[in-house]
Amino acid sequence: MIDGVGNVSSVLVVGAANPLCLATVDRLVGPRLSRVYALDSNPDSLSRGAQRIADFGVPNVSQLWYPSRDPVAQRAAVTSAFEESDVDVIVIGPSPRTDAASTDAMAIEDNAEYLERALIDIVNLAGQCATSIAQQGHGVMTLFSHSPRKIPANLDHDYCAAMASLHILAPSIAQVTASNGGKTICAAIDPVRDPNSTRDAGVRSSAMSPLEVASEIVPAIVARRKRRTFEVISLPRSLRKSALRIRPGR
Amino acid sequence: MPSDTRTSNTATREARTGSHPGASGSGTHARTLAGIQAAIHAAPARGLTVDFNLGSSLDMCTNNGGDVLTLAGALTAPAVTSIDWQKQSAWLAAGASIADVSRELLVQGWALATLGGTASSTVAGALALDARGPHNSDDSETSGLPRMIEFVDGVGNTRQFVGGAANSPAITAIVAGLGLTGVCTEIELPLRPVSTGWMLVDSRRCETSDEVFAQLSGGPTGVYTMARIDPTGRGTGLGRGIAVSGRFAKVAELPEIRQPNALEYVDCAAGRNASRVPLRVGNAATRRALKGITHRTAAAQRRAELIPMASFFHADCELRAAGRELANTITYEFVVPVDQSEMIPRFLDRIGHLKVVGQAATLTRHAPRATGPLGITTDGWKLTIDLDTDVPGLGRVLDDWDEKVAAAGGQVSLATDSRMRIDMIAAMYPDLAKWQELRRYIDPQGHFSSNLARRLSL
Repeated sequence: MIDGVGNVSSVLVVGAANPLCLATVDRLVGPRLSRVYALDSNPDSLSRGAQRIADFGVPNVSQLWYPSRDPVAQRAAVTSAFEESDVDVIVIGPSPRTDAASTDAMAIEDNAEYLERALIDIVNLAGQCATSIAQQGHGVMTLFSHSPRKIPANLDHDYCAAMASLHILAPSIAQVTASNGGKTICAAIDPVRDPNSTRDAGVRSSAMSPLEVASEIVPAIVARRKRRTFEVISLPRSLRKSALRIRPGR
Repeated sequence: MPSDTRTSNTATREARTGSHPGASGSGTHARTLAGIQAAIHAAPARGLTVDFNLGSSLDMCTNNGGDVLTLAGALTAPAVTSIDWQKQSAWLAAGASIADVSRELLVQGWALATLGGTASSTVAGALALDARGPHNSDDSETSGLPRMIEFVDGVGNTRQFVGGAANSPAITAIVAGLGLTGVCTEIELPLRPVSTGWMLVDSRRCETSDEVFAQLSGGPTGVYTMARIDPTGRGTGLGRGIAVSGRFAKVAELPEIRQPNALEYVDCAAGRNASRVPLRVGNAATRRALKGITHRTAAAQRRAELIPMASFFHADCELRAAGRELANTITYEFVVPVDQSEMIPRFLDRIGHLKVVGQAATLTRHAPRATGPLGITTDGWKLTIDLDTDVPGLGRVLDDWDEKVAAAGGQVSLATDSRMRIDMIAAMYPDLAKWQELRRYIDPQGHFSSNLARRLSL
């Protein structure tokens, strides 16, 4: 469990290919973080994500592959992580479309398939993780989501739909975790500022960096005050900071 | 002892499951011995811990995802079962609070030989923590230790262990056992005769740490000594504080108006009062300034101040407990050998540079006393301090300090720990393996567990 001074000893990452999740693990790395479980349905993304996590300095990284559209196998994957040891923090975020999918016409994923992977699987896994936290009696669930906004045309609508649905489901997931000592933190990112929303370099210049997002939410994850069982952190926190970032010439 | 003749159905009803405040685990109440046995047999996979009424902020008393057993009914009242006037000892209900026990004993002119920890903690809790209050130079190696203990082990059997001497089974098994070796039902503890429930307290403001150590080193017999340290002192004022010494007052020393009620127990209000004032006033600089003012405005010397015994022995612990509950502070307690006293101001300097505001810091002389394998055996100086946790880098500083304490031959207390590294325990507690072996013998199936046990792989 998270100790008295905010040291985390184990983390479960659902969506090992999501830069936001990886940046959060990077910020959580400390002297006590000894184990990270990385979950993804794409074997390539999983091994790449696990390698990145190992590069952060985590001594034990376990790769747990789960098949898409198979709730039973997904439940087994989550349960196997919890059976091994207590999990202090769970970080959940739908994986963005792969680079290949955006450039290679042959590799473009079917929209329905991507939605199933990013939305249905993630929601199912989030529910399963919430149940496991409640059984364990402690833990912090971190969800990446989008604040409800009108989505500009140049963003990935399927990804944004998955993120928006996580935002809608967050209170229900928080109820499950809070039923026995868990806490939920929902990072509600402005879709335009989410670095995963688009591959368009022009639009991405105004996005927050993954580490910037992680720096905003990690203090809330390791905070000792447990009175609030559900916290929504709207990002970017300050419009002024955000405006400074996108001002021409900076 | 409560009767052990109830049927299993009654026992199951007895181990009544209810809600427990906070996230420290679901709660079970046991009113009889059979109730405890039923709770042990029905312990969930994540184990069972005993509620010592120490709040939900100590890892030792919480069991996330598991069960928390609260003693009630016949296991808490009457607090004092019998008093042996010849042996100067009393059989006490393990689930009774120290305050209830002291109240009942005081009416008959007795007090517990060792008083420490919070007044609201149970007798079993005070033993599991090996809580000691201010130092008394009269205390021998075995004073204040249980003479006999009755407890239920991990299999559900009732055991009776003899204590009173160093390395006796009762002490090895229960004292500083962190509640992981069984559920105490009754304890025989030594007493001391007293004529009033009031302390005559002298206090003196010391401007340097050397002055504080000098005040705590000497002292006449029968006097309890401690110092309240000002953690905001800098330069030559590092480790400054107010040295306090007190002894039980005689009836004739009380004002006439108090003499008829000389044996009345006056509750300690420190914890209650702490909950009425904001503990986190302003920012760290404001809090440091307020602490400094408190020290500078204290009287240079006070003599023969009358203070209720509960306030004298328990106020600082009550304040720390309130801080942990209300302001989410952590308690850091360590003992360094007598010849390493300069480590105390060095530690205060270190946390001062980190801009951590320490609360309710106390320094006492820690004399060697028989204790369990996980108790503190170092003959030295004990500093207990509450620290704000929202300071970046505090974890690394405390990790570093753990290593320094271990290298100097000192020990960091496990009872109040919430962050120690696993590898440090073996360095500080050489008898850990012996305790683990004893635990496996008493609780072979590992029914007793807590957050502390899981975090430190005890």
